[in-house]
Amino acid sequence: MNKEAAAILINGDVSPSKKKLLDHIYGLFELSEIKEPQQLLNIHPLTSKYVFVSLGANFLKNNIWEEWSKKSSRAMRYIFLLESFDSKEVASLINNLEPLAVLGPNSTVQELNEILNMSRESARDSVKSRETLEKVKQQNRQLEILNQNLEALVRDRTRDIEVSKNQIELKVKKVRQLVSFVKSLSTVRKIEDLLTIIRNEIKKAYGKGEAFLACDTGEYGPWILHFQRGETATVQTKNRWNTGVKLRINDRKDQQYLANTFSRPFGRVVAFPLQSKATDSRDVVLFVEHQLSLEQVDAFIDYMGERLQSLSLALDRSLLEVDLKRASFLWESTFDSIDDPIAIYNKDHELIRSNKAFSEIIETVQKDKSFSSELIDTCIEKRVSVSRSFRAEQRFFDAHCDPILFHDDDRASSVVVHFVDVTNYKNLQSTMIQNEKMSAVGHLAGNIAHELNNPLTGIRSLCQVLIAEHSRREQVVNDLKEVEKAASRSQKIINNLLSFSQSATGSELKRVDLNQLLQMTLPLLKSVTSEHRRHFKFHEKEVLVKVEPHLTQQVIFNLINNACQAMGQEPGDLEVKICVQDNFAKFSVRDSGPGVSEELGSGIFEPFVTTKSKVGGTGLGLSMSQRVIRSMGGEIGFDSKLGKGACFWFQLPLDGETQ
Amino acid sequence: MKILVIDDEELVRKSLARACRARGFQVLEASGGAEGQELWENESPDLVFLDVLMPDLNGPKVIENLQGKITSKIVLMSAYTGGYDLNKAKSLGADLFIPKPFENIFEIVQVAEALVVGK
Repeated sequence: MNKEAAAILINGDVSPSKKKLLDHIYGLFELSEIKEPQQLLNIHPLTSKYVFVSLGANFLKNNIWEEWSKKSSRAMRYIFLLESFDSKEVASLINNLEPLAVLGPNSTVQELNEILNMSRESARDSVKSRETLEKVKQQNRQLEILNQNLEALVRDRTRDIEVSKNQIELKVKKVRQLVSFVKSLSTVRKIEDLLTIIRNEIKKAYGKGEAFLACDTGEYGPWILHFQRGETATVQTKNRWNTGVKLRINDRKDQQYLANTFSRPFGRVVAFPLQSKATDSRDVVLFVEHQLSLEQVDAFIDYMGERLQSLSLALDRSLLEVDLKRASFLWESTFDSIDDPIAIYNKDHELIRSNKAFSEIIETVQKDKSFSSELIDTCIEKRVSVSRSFRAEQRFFDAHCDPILFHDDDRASSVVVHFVDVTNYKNLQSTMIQNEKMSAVGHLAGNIAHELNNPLTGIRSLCQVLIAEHSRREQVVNDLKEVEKAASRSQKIINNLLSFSQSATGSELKRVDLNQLLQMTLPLLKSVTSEHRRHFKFHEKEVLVKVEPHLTQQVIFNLINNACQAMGQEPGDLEVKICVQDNFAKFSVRDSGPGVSEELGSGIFEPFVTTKSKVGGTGLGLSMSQRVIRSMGGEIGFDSKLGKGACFWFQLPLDGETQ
Repeated sequence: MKILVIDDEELVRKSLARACRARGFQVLEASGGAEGQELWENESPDLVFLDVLMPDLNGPKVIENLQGKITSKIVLMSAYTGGYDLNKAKSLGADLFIPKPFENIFEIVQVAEALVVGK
């Protein structure tokens, strides 16, 4: 067994009991003897666990013990072997050193062993506790390190979070800006508003910068939308800007182009071509005049880049809106320019659309209740085109109703009603019918005329014979002459009727004096005019006209006869006048009869129009007269007011040298 | 002179007949084509006044029927001036064409007389 190392200092004498102890100690330990107390200072606790200090009754009293006691390590275990306990110096030494044990003169080996065991135990314990302490310290240290790490981690993390939070806030702010931008774009309808939004956005982010929207729509040539004095304005340009699909940063040409267009110096310009899907034939560029440095420009471009897509979409919409408006306008103008009324109805008879022409007849249409039911309902039910005639005041229409079908098997949802104006056609038709009638009447008249000629011939011939046979009976002869004249007149009328119905131009035109013609006709009218006050005014000079004399006489006869008939049985004023007016010969007959109502108007010259049905007017006189006069290059007419008489006149072109 | 008047119109026939009798001629009357044709054939007049349009047998038809059998002077009369004129009348076999209405019946008689006399 290895002995433990220890140190011993023997100072002073050793009593026999102490010797016993010492021997024991020598037996237990490997001792290193220390002669001088100073050497005690050199002892290291690791090399000597115990330091036995045997002090005689008179040990050295010098400062060395003081020094030694101060410098000595606490780890040293001192065991004092003393002769007595009484000394004051020993007491202070013990106080300073706090030895493990102090053995007196009577201490036994047993006691020493006990002390050593106890010390060993306590050493062991203390080692243990030291070890534990160490462990704890170590653990503590580790915990500290861990703690520090954790703290660092937490700090880092916190810092990271802070940073991300800031970043996120920034991003959120950016996104909010973008969202509000896109929102404001979604409400844009007009291109001008679009530019305003762009401009505001740029100003918001960068404070300064001017935006220009350059658009080449093809139809009206290139134009640039810009801001002028707080409002949007358009400038038509002759030249086109530089086209390109790519972004152009600070391109000199763009700058130059804009400077030329706006006649002012321009700063640096960035050009953003706006891709438009719906408008591939269009070229739209957003120019931004900026005052940014090169570094700022990049950020600006990113900023704009985020917005370009929504811009393009909004632009599309606005341009489409413009197109739509134009197309709508074109459609409306076209629709309205159609002369025929067109209306679109839904199946509930509600008017969906109609053109301008329709507004003229809409009231009449709405009044006609059967219109909706007959036309629209039938059309919708049967899904075929339906037509019917329709009349609005003086106009005649053929209303064609066509169904609008979306699917072959569905009921029609709405119908288009097209009113074809057939007024002219109808008028033409009636004129034709009238002409046919006239023609038929003419034929008929021709036949009747021939038929009448026979008996009239007979009457006249018999009169002539009777006149010859009873030549001496004046009264009878006179009467017979009247009869013959009447018959003769009748024949003349019939002949005129014949020529009217044949409308043959067999009759020759002759140059006659209108005065004379009137003169020749007057005797025929003697009886008719005798009742009334007559005023005949011939023109002082010859009035030469180229006419068919017989027919013209007939016209004169007609007019005067009519005038007298109009005045009836009451004596009235008859004025017959021939004069010359601007190269025309004018013949007029004025009566003081009841006059002609304005309602009749020019209709009075229509055949079969007569106010004389009781008196036996055939209604052919005026129409025939009109025909005759017109065929000779003249015109016929009348002036009249109800209650104020009438003046019928005709005029004929003068022939040659009338003055 | 013997004259035959064929006309369905009574007044014309009567007045023509009387005008002729006043001139001292013998006048026969027929009111229709058939009657006229018979009289013509049987009596052989010197002059015949013949109306064109008659309900039964018309003038030209009568002439046609009596083709070769008669030697009378024929005066054709008609109110229908359109279809007939002197040339047509002559082509039918008539000597004269007088349109109706007559202005003066005595003139007619004179003309007819001249026709016969100037034979």
